[in-house]
Amino acid sequence: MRVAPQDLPPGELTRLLKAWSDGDTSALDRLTPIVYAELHRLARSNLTHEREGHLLQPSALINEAFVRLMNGAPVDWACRAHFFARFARLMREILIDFARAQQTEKRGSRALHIDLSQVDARAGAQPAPASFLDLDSAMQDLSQLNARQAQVVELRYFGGLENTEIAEVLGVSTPTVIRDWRFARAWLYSRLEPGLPATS
Amino acid sequence: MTPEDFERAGDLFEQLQGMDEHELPAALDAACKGDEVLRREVLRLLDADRRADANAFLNRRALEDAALLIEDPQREVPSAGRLTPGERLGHYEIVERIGAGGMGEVYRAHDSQLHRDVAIKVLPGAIAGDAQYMARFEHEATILASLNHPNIATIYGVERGALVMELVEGDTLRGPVPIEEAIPIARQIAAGLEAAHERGVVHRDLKPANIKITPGGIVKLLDFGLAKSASFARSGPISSPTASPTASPDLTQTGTVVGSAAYMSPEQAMAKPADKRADIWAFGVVFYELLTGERLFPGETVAETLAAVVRDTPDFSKLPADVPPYIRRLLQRCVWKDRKTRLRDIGEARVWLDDPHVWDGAPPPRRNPAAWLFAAVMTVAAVVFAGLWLSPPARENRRLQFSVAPPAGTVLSGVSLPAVSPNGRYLAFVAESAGRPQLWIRDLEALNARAIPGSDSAADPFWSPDSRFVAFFVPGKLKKVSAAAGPLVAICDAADGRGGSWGKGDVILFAPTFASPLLRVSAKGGTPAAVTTLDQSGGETSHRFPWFLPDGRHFLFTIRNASPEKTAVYVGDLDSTQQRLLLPAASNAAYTPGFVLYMRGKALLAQRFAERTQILSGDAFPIAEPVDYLAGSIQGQFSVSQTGVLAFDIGGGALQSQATWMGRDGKPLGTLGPPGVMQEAAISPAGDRAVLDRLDPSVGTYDLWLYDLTRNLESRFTFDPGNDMYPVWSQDGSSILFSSDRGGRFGIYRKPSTGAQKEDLLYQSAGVSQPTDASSRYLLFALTAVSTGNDLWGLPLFGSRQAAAILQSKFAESHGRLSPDGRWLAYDSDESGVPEIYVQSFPGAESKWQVSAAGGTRPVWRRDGAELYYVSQDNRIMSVAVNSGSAFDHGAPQPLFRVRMPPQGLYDVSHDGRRFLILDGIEPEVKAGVTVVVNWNVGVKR
Repeated sequence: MRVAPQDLPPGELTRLLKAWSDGDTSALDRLTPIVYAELHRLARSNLTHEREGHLLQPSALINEAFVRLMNGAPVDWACRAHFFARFARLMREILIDFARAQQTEKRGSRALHIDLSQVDARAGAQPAPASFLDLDSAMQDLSQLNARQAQVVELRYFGGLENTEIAEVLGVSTPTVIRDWRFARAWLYSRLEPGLPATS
Repeated sequence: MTPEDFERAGDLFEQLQGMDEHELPAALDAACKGDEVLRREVLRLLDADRRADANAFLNRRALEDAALLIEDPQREVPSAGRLTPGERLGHYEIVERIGAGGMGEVYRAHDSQLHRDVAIKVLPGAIAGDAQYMARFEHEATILASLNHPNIATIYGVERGALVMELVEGDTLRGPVPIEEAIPIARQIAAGLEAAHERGVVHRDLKPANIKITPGGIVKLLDFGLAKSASFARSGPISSPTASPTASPDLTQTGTVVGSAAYMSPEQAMAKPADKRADIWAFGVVFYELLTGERLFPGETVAETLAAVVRDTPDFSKLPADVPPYIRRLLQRCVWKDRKTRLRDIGEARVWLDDPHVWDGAPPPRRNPAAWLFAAVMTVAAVVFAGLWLSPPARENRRLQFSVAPPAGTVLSGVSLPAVSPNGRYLAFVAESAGRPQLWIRDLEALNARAIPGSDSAADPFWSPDSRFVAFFVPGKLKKVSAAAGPLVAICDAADGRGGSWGKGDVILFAPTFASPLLRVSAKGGTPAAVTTLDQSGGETSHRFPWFLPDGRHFLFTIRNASPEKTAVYVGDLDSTQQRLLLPAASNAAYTPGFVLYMRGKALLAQRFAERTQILSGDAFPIAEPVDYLAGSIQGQFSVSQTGVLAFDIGGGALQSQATWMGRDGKPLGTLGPPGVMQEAAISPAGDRAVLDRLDPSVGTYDLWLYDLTRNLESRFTFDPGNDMYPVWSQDGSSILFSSDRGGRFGIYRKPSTGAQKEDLLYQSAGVSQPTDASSRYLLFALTAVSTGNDLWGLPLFGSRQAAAILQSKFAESHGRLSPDGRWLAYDSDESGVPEIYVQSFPGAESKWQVSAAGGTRPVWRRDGAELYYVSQDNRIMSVAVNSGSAFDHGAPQPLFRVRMPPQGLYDVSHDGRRFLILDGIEPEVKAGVTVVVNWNVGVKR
């Protein structure tokens, strides 16, 4: 069953998210199809915009997705930051599951080679093939070394948050977020790109 | 690495970022103080940072990357049915879908780099998403691209998982055809196979559906070698014994059974590896079918068919008696079940077909190389095996029929008449590409068509008596051009012609508009003079479709009457005002020696006619059916030469459209009412109702239909027998204003939108009036008159109600629409040579802005005035942001989506600008070409 975000009563996503973070696993079952529906919508719009020759800004897309997922409901949690953190974690969980399912379904033909870079042919940049699942495991390693940096990645990449929002969630300054992000990204890249010498 | 090391590396990483490469080693040495592990780690991270940046690592968000798992735009091609005209695939622009098969959808597309049309085969999504399969597919395509032979459709390459190949015009192979026809076809099939086999490529799926014959008579083999790739693809169950290459699910497990069952060799049927001998088998089976029109191995189901292939001895008793023994033996050799004894080389078959003496000394079949006509038929008729007029070599007095396909990338215009030259050698017709109609002349002898440059929007061509020139209408002008070559020459003005005829002494007779009498002008140019007079009091609304009789003085023409039953064909006279009723028919009429041709419904009739006495005799009899008939303009799409050559278009409803709600991306959201011939859709000010004008095909006139959008109700709004068209809503939605030609005169009427019977005449015009806006205190309308052309008029809906011209010039201004605040007037005008959208202040005209770029017509305002829409030259709905204060401030036009509307069809938009009501053209079901019949009158007693 696929539920479109607009079919969701206002506030329902918030409620489900809260239930899920309180340990109600059935809430996840209800949330997953909503996110999947959004995925399919994004997949379609990606395709459309690509053919039109326009590239949407990633944050615009993700914000639009977020607004849609929220169905315009105000975040009624006492702590907004907490909500965002939960949301990012939820997205990570669902998307990694999704990637795993894709991998099984397609016997790895594409899921193993999902390209996490933004290919820009004009700049002549080469994409770095890396796996969604490898990224997840590298992030787990990163959290052992510096939990906050891993969280910045989670909030930004999975949660779609902007730097200022991440700063609010983590209670640090925006420059700190920017610093964390840059280092974490380099560190993850060094772990994922096969061309680089093995990490010690 | 410990968190402490990690932290130190992080600090150094931050410090050393962006440092010059030359200074870096020294700085690192100083910072790391001999800690080699740390030094290496920091260097690694700095390097990774640079590369992550260059590669935009993690620039997208996870949700987007995950979405790419579903559909990767770099790789994935949309699954079947997703590509729509106008979409792009690399540098290919999709023109239309031309077919579908088990291997995916096939589209006609335009290559914008090489400026040619190509065919694009889009693989089903499930296959295109399979990387392993696609790699193999691309590899094979590379090999296939190296096959360069006239009888093989060339593969150009692979573009994003879609196969790009030569666009082959024409029909697929169909039998039966006479032996004389079949041999050259079979020879070409063999030659194509031979070339492939020489390069080690085997077709594996040869069947009639994969063999096309161009209008020039060239055989092209399609889908070469794809069957091999296809065997790797997952596929659905076979439902028909002639389905496209695929394998039933159970067979996929054990081997690779490909090819359509009926043409499959026994070894393929048994899932054994197939080699070139499988193609030789299929060649035999196809050749047999070509001669007999029947399958050699029949069967209702795949299983039954395969069983017959493996088990049955082929039965050649159904071969026509005139198939020579050497062909019979060749067929037998091809379909030996044991491939070891089968014909070993397709090249041998080709040699025998070239020269049967090699085989048994039988004389080659005789051919009659005589006249151009026969040459034309030999090649063109290949397109229509169904024509079947070819059994023995044609003689000149035999009736022959063939089809002239529209040129590559075009479709026949649904509105213009075709024209055969009086000598029967040329065919002039209008075909459109990307919505732009152009005149084409086809030399039936040379078999190629030539587009006439500069003939955009041409209509209703007609020939000079010597067949050297063709005259035709373009909006505003009557022009002529030499059939051979040369520039266009304007003859005189003609707003919107309805047929012409070119008689002796260079006299041209023509209908300049759809509501005028006939005028005469010299073919050399000059000022036209009226020949006939519209009897408006008698209900006459138009004289049209003149056709000179051989004396060059009398002519046939059609008088349209507001009472449809009075519409009839008359005989007129250049030298007198006398006109005589010839026959009651709502049709154009044409004279050819001994007969008058005209339409009755969809049937083209002929009736004997004595030219001297101008009297009809005998019963009318049908000579072709169906022939396209346009009820709106009472014209049948046919033409006839003076030598017995008849041309007609069987049509396919190109003018039909369906009122459709579309989103800003052009996505259909729903429909309104049944499909039909319509001109305008208009939404009420409250957004709760819509009105359409729709042709009633049974009487040939338009009525208005009202739709209650909230309750989804349809009701007929006007009932007058005349044409009620171009509805616009009043400011408060309480009434609808529209144009009507009731009683033979054009006028603008107003009727309460409740449907109450009261209909006020607001304005009676001398010319044709088309209301375009009544959303303010003014009614705006376009007035078309022969003397002044197209002008913009206004009529205050208060006070004196005196109509006055707002824009009157030698240019064509129309579609005036006021902004919701009443301060800005948007309209289109061709003052720059092409129609563009302009906005000027209103009611004064102190300032003026051009809003469109590169052409545009039909502006429509959003109800809050913040956006203006129009239709671009290439048929896109364009959006212009408007931010008007004291001056008119507007943005650049942005395309929203492509439409396929009737030529000047009008649309509307919902209050929020999110939903458009579009008259969406319906693809004609049949896209046949012009059918040409030579000696149509053979067998008819004179």
